[in-house]
Amino acid sequence: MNRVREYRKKQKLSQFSLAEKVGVARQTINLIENDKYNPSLNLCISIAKVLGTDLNTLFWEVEDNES
Amino acid sequence: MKVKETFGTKILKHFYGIPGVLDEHARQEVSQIGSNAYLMLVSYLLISTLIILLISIRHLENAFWILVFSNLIAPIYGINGYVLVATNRLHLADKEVRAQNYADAVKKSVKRGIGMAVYFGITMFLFTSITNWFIDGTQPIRTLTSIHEIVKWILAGLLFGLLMFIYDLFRIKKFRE
Repeated sequence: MNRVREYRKKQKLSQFSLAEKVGVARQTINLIENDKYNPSLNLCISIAKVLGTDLNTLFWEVEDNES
Repeated sequence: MKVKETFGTKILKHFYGIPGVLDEHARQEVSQIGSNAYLMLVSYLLISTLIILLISIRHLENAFWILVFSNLIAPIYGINGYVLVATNRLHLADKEVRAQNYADAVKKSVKRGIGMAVYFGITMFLFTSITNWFIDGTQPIRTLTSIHEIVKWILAGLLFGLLMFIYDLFRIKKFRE
């Protein structure tokens, strides 16, 4: 599960606002947050930039025994 | 971040009925729907051509009319119907609006309905005048000045505009942030 929703809420952004900033539909953001769609690398980078973080933090899955 | 849409993108959005951004997810889904529609169309063409060839051996004129009507029904109702159902199932055709913008979205739908009513009424009125000329030799000016035809196509336009408005209204989804 990615951390897009967590970081979006930290930035106090709605799905709509994030979608507008990134240039995609709100539905796409919703699908990404629910792990129902794998975004392209470009889209991941755009989302990370808007949320003020990096790809690893947002999208790298951390195993339970590593954390 | 607004990206300028190419003409190709606008055509795609128009044919698939996608109101918002044609982003990578929508493009992927549209590509899949388009591939499925193409496969259906090719299958239909192969099968229908074979059937028509067999019918035409003994009943040539009937074969012609069967071909004309089936080529109207299968692509328009069959394949377009599939595209309509598929885009609606994936919510690609939804118009998501913020709750505070809902009233504006409804007003736009009303304007669009009126536009469609006028467009349909005038186009079909002119088209009928030309087809009547081909079918039974009626001069276009007679059709264009016929009160019966004018009233008929005004009513048809109003009905079409109303149906388009209702369909558009169902597509609008209010979203509370």
